[in-house]
Amino acid sequence: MSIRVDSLGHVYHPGTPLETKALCGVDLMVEPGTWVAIVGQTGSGKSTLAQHLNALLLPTSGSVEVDGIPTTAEPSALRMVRRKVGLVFQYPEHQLFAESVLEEMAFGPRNWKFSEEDIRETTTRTMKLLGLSEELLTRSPFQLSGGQKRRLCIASVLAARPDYLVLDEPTAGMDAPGRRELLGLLKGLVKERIGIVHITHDLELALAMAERILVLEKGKTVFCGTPGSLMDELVERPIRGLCLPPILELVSGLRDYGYHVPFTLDAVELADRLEKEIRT
Amino acid sequence: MHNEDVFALRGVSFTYPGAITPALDGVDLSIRNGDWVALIGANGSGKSTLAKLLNALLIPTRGDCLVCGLKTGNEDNLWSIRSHVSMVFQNPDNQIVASVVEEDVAFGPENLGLPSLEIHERVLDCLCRVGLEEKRRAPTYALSGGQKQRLAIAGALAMQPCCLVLDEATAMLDPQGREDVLKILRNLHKTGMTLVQITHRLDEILDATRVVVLGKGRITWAGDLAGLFAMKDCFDEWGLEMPPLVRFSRKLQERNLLPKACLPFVKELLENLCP
Amino acid sequence: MKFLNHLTLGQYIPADSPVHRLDPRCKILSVVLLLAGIFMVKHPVAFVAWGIFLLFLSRFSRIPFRVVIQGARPVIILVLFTAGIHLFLTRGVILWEWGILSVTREGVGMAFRMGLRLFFLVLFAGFLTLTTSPMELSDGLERLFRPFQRFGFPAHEMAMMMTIALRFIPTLFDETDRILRAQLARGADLDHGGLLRRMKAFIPVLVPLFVIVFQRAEDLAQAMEARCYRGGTGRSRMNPLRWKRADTFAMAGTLVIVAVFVLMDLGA
Repeated sequence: MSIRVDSLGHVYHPGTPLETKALCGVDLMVEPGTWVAIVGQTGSGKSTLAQHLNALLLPTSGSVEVDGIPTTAEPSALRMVRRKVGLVFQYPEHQLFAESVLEEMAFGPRNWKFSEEDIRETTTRTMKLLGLSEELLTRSPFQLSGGQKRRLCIASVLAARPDYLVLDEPTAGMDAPGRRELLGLLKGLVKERIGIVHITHDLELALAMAERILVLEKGKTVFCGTPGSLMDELVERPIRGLCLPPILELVSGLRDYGYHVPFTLDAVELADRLEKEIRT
Repeated sequence: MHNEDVFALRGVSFTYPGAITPALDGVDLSIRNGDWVALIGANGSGKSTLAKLLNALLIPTRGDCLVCGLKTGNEDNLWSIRSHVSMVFQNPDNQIVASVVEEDVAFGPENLGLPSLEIHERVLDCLCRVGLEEKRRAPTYALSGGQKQRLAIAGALAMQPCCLVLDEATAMLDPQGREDVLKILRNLHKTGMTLVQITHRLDEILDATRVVVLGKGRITWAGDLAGLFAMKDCFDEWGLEMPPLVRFSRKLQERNLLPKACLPFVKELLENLCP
Repeated sequence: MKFLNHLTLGQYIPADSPVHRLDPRCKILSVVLLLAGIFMVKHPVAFVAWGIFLLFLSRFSRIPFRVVIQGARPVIILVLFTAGIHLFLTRGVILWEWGILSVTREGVGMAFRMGLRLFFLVLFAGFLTLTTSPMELSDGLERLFRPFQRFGFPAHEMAMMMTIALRFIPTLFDETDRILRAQLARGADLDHGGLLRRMKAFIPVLVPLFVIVFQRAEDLAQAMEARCYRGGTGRSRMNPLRWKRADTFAMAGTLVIVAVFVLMDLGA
């Protein structure tokens, strides 16, 4: 049970002057109940990779398997993969269309031929999971606040009960409280055994949230491992396309000076450790 | 001009047509020439409304908004105000009019009715200032998000304004694009341009000379950066994330390991901690 | 999987060529002339002549012929359809028959002629948009239509509308593509079922698209206003249109070429 990406390659517009290699030899593994982050700059291939996980794009070379089903053009496999892997695009509020929140929520499940009873059940459940009250059901999705719209979009994908959820910059454009709330809710999904693939260009966010991080640059893997090992590596040598979050830059400076302080994003822990160092 | 306020808002309120609660409620604010003002606050605090008032895109429903001494409510001042104050909006795609880079930069000066030669000069100068001189003849749709936003800035600068208002201009950009935009702002500030920067990211305002916090349509706090970072327990209420460095330096200041005046920048912290 | 392709229909390709430098009014009028000429072509040899002229034009304007052809790709179906209709519906000497379908010798000729005419039409018209930026194009049209402004024709507004429409074509294509993908990811089934079902299936794509278009329009209007746009009055241009000697030559040249081609055709 996992998503396995095996030396995946993708070429856009093959054989034309617009031919571009978007991905080259990328490996990745996502298990249910884990949070994996894919980090890279614009044009690093992270969005292309995201669409492969959901069979919106098919491999030019290599393979993608979702719970043992390879993504191919074969229609039944295609639908199976799309059902298992929910994909939330960047600024998902741009895809709202229904007359009511209820209809918006039911769109996915209805496409996957859920029974009406099942749709009602899954709607109530996922709305609760994403902190949306049931009073909203009859409202127009366009009347909701920005944060609510964002959560509704994620809920509407989640309503189809996918095993994995791929999110492209889910917190883009949100303010601090909205962001914190959303990240907390997503963290809750991991506890429900959903595998989360978080695509972002915010390294600090990835380091704080993910169990495993894949760093892409120009379609190639430049790092794959735990946040801890990524921090260690970042301080040793700069990784192309990534800049150090300020707090790690500080840690690095402190260590150069001779303080034995750990690589951490936790400001309080760092302050405590530094105090101990200074006092001894 | 130098001693005069670029903006003077007196008891400004604004209510959108059809809305019950005002988006802005009794705002008093003056911004001096050469200031870099960071306008921060949670979503829905009225930041964007305030920005549009500064450019006379909106007219206060109560109170007065003066731009370089001109009242925005007066129809006759409209074009003069808009050539003094330029705006850059959040979505770069929605402010580019032309299909070719230089034609887009020329759009503003053309509206001012300037002679061809001067437009050419301004276009080249502004493209250089944002580092897009090589893209002069490039089609606009082929630019990256960061480049599009730089183009929007060039288009705003081509009006030769005394003030630039940026309404969440970096919100849709990646770290590289954001850094590029901030670098341009730093250079503009050096040349004496007044900047009003709207954002909800504290790590972007580290160059601001003044900070104004908006909440529910009112100014909840105003001061400088050192003052802002010395505030306690307000960040959550204001809808802001406290950067880890602020938290860190505050902890050390509490334990007297850092001087109170030290700002939470990596360079300053290292200078103080590693003498 | 078929997604919207980046099409080059109406796309401007910047280059420094004698054709690019021509006054847009000259180019618009020349294209009108050329199109009129093409509609009169009958003889196969004349088609070859037009084809050679096309190649020459592509060299002269520094636009690879491949790109010119690519621009016409979206209308290939229309071309084939037109040719097909003429192939089957022209009466004459029957060459081949199957049920109610019959192909006549006149039909084959007509099919070739109409298909090629339409194809050439699109290619020549394509040169206009390939070598003229939308801004110049709308400037040209604005100036050509200015005499009609006296009768209430909104020349400037039409021109500005066209500029913006052309500017937003690629953006909206990207947008549509993204919405399409997003709804596919939510299990939308866009290519099964009858016509009615398929049309219904597109609602989740069209509604968000409309919302976005309106949002963009509002934002853009505001951004234009902030940059002091107030319609055509008092507006100057970075590159004011200037009718140069080259334009007169180009215009005269086009006239001669069209006249020669048409006469050649009539003579043959």
